[in-house]
Amino acid sequence: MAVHNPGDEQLHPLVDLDRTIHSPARLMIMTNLYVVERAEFIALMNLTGLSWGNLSTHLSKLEEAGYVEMEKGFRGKKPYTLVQLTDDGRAAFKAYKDQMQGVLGELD
Amino acid sequence: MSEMIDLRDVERRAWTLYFQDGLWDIFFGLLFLGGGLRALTDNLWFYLLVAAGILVFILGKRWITLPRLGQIHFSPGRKARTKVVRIVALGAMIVTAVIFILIVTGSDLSGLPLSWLFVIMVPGVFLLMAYMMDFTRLYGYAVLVAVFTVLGEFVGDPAAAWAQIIAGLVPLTVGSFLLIRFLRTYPAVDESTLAEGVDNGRS
Repeated sequence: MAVHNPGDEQLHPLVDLDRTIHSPARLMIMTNLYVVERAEFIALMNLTGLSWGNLSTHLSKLEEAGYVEMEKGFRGKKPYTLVQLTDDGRAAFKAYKDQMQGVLGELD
Repeated sequence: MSEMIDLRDVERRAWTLYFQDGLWDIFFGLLFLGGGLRALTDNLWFYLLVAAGILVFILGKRWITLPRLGQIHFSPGRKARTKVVRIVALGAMIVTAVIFILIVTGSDLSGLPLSWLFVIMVPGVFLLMAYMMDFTRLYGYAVLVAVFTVLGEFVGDPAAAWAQIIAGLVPLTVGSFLLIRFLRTYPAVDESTLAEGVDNGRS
């Protein structure tokens, strides 16, 4: 039987956090995309410090969640991928930010 | 949360990434150097060095910076700041060109405080660029510009010309150092190579 702990109620909003965003790598990606209109895949690698494989995996998860959209193109013969937050992604990041501010603010 | 991640800092960091290539510094270095050499020799040096500066800047951004950093489309706010800088720089160039044409055509401008106009306008444009573009090194270059502009207007050559040459060597040296560091820090990559599993030593 679970023991009721009053502290749990204070931390309850943490349980509701968006877990798609609440991973360090995806949070970094979302944060960097939130402050610009869109960025190339290579730019995101430089901004986040993630490897191609890691970034690719996390972007796929964000794309599945409908938070980012990717557009492929060619510059000369070189391929590039432009990544940007969708409206849902922007709203989700803002909600996450407000939620974290609220929770951590209350813990002060 | 706001103490841990400042979104303005994140955006500024992305923006200033593009100043790490040293190409702006090299451009200004060649521009100042050309101006100083023109006063001591002839116009040819000025045209050659300015043309070299423009070429290095445009080709460098296209063939060195872009393949290494990728492209970022910044927010409308950032674009608006860049637009203000362009308009002010263009305005300053038009004012300079008009004054130059008036002098060449023999107009009497002796009643105008032209020396003061240049002493305020030229470093002022650099200060505005530094502020609006979040380009910290430009504050230092604005000081150098102020020194050689004041010397040029109130002391004259060869002191002003040598000051301008030295002022040109500073950003040229800084820019060259930054460019070498940039090339070492950011290897040229393209997505097709990365997709094949080559991560160029990135973590």
